[in-house]
Amino acid sequence: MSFIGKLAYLVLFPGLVFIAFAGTLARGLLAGMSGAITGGNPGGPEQSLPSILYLLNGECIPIGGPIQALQWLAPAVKLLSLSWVSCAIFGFLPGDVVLVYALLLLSSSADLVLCFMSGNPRVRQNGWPEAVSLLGWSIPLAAVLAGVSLRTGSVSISGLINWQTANGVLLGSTAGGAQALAGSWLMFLVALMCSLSMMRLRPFGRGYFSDAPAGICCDISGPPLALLRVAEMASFIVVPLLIVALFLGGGASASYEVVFWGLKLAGLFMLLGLFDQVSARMRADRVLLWLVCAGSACAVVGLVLVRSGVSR
Amino acid sequence: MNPFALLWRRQLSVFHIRMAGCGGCGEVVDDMLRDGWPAIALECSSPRHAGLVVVTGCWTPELGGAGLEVIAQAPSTRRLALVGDCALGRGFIAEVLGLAGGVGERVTPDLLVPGCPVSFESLVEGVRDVAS
Repeated sequence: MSFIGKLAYLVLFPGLVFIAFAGTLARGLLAGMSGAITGGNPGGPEQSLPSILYLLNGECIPIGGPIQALQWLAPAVKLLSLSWVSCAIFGFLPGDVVLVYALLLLSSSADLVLCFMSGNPRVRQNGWPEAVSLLGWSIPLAAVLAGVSLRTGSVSISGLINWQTANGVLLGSTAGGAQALAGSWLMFLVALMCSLSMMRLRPFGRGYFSDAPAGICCDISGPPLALLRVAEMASFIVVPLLIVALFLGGGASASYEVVFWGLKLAGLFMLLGLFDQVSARMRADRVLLWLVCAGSACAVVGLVLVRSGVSR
Repeated sequence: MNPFALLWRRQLSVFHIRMAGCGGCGEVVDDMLRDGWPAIALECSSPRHAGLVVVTGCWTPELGGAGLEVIAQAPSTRRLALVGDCALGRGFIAEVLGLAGGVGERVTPDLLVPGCPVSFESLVEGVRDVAS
């Protein structure tokens, strides 16, 4: 496939067509859960998908700062990165865990660059907490991806899914013994913590749609804002897709399995949403320290358990 | 709001500027934005995103200049609504403070909603007209 063809593929499917709609539904589900648990939606009423897409036609007001083009480039890079991750998970484009990890890093780094290059001092001062948040999930996730690859013996996403099709899902398979199974469960818990941070859900994330990230959304307007909003919605689907692919068997290999795959995805998302709702009053800075320290420690312990289980 | 309505309804982005006064009209606007009509109008956090800028309260010399600066930051396609007698430069508070009149020289509103305080129904009707 030519470069232009791949680019068009990334933009149109599943980047915008599927993920934006699924992300909107996920956001609606989150708002519904918030209403059911707390009696209201603390984030306020939700912006609808047509309202966001209408911004594509809006005026882009210059934000100041050293590199103006970044306000156009960074949201597009963020969205395309997440779209590429989803393509790799679905198997539409070849990809391995290293590529997926690099794309997730690129997606969050686009926010960071936008923060630090902003002409608004309020946005710039939020850049460092955003950077710590990025470190908070990237270090444990690296250990998790290493552990999963070690247990399955494959670094490609399709290889991971094929291994789980043959041996059972990673969280239930007895291949490698009890040690490897315990290590997988530890890594799954750490992956959930990282997911919360990547999706900007509480307690590990810094909040979604609340001028996120770091007040950039107050700064930019028009098409870049629309892309940033769609990218935020895309993360609601891409991150659970990744966790399901790593630990719960991935996508459907037969038509009837689509239902089970959808249930796994929805269940995981609701679990993450539940964490978000019941931990609203935790202090983000202290909890982040737990993610960096305890999360990394648990991931390393899991990695060692998997290593010892597999090597026997 | 029905979560599935997020898929097809387009909302009008509203930025609310509160000026001097009793705050009654501001409460009515907030009530409309936060509880009453999120499916049609949604409050935005920055004037750069505003499709409609709503002003409530009196244009005092101090706040008036700041208000005009905020309005100038909105996109060129934005609409402007002056809500309540104070924002229109009339009513007893504006008269007592000596701020009656003169609003038309500073801004060109697209929507005028009189009342002290403004009624919820007239505000919703006005915003619906602007949204359509």
